[in-house]
Amino acid sequence: MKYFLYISAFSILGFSCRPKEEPVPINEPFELQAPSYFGEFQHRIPEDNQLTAAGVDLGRHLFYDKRLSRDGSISCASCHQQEKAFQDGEKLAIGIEGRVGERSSQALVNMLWSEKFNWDGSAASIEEQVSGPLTDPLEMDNDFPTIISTLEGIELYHGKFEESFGTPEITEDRIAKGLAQFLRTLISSDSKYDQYLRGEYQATQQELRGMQLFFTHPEPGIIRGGNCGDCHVGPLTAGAIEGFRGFHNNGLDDDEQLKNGLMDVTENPMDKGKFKAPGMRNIALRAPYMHDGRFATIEEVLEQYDQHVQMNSNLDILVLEGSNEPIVPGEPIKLHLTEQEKEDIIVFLNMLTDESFITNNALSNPFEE
Amino acid sequence: MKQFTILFTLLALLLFNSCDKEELSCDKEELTQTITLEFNHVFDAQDFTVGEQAYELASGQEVVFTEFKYYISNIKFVAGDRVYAVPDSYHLIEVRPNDPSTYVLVLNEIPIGYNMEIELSIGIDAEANSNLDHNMGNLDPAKASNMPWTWNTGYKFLRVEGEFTDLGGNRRGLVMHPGEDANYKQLRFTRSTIIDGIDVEDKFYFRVNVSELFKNPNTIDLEEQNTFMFMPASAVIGENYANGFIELIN
Repeated sequence: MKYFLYISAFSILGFSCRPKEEPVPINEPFELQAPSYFGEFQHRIPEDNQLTAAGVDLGRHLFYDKRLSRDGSISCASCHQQEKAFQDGEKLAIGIEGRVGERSSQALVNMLWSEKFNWDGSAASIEEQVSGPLTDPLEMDNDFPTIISTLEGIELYHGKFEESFGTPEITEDRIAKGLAQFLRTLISSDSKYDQYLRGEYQATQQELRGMQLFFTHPEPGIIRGGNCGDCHVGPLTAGAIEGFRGFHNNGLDDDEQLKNGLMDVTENPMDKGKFKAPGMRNIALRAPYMHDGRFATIEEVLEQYDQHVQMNSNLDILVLEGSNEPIVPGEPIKLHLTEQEKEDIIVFLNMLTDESFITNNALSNPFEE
Repeated sequence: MKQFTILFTLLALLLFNSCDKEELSCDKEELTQTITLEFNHVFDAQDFTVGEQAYELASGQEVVFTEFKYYISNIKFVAGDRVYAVPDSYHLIEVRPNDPSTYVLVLNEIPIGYNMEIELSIGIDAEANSNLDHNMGNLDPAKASNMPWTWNTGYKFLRVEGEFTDLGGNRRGLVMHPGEDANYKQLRFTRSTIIDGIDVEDKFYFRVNVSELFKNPNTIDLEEQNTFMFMPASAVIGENYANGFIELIN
């Protein structure tokens, strides 16, 4: 009798405060390293998809596995190649059977410091984003029942799903989670600029000038600037993190040519022509440029911002009010940068190349090891 | 009998093994409470929202605001000659598009007895403003987001952006990014009604009148100047927000 009392009392104590739990995956957490100047990121990792060693490994295999496409010809890595900073060097993404997409492949990097994904902000999480390319007819043109059945037939994945999620069941949700875990590890933070920020590299005078110009919004007569940092914000050099803040209409097109961009998602006319401002890490490796790959070189990009900003009715006001010369209202906005200044900015942009990121074996194709 | 003693001990342990946090700490030395600051943003008689609504400035221009945020820092509660300074007090107040006009700031573990007078500052104090290594409160780079001037140390104290149409019919931008130490303004407020007794929770209601940014003492005419980023142009904004921009209602 007395043992019964002890056992039941201790059991009540033991279960008094814990919520019901799912089977715990039997693998260790995967610790992410990121510089403090990028800012906190833990809270952007979903509660139900914390990174684990097995989950990242699963995601990495899925990322490089061509069998996820309908005809087994392309994988995620086909459009997101590590040596090109995880994009493909093409104007527009090329999917299955050579089908040409509507947008340029984005460079996958530092995605933990973003809340909205795709050029038009249509995905609210990485987990949500990855389903798109897998099922889009212009990309991998597959469907989840087929993908699941394919993966079930591959012995390699039996153990990986079990280790990652506790049971061997393969689901759409788990495929997305695995991929998202791997994608969150694509952190680039060891360029010369990063080393400079950490006091490990002595920047040249030209690099410092370029850096200053990049981040400065010009004020005629007071300070000269390239006006890049308003949209390519801070050490991440990317669009602001919260919500759709990092989406901007940078004057690529006039009202007639202007595509909807973010407006397709928010249905707000003030969002017409806004696209995601990507981070600039490894930008030297990421030609061609813009959401439709219209500029083959960085020099062309600089020329666009300096001389050819289009005055559409929704032009970002920080571009509208950004010039090194006094602005004449109603006239096209030009930055009026000198040739030296443009050169300096490009030197800074080259500082953002991170060799270790594009050669990191942990991010490479596991099928070719 | 021994069984019952053990059972009672276990049951007693069970009773105190609760999961909810109490707001009043039970330390005999110091009772604390939670104080909430509510910042209700208005434009004179209207609610202030970001994104769609146009507001008429004292100068007559109609502006749609697209961004509105500012730093409140170094909050102190005052009781006579005693001052309690909230630690790591750097708060980024924001009215986001489609969000309500009221911003709520919750401050925990404030000692009891300090809730008659409050001091707060607009902007960042000089020490923190000259050091981008601080990760306190909203100075964390990820939360601060587009507030630091990356090319130089320091933060924008206010980030107000919007658009308007000028007299020539052109679409123009309003860009207000005041910063720099001279624009750091300390404000002090005293409650008019005495709060009776000790409450676990207390609330201060502030009225933040965006219209005041554009007048009192300086009437801002966007036809003359529509970008305010550095001194001396930004000094007028600092003077305006030191005066009537934030008021304590209760």
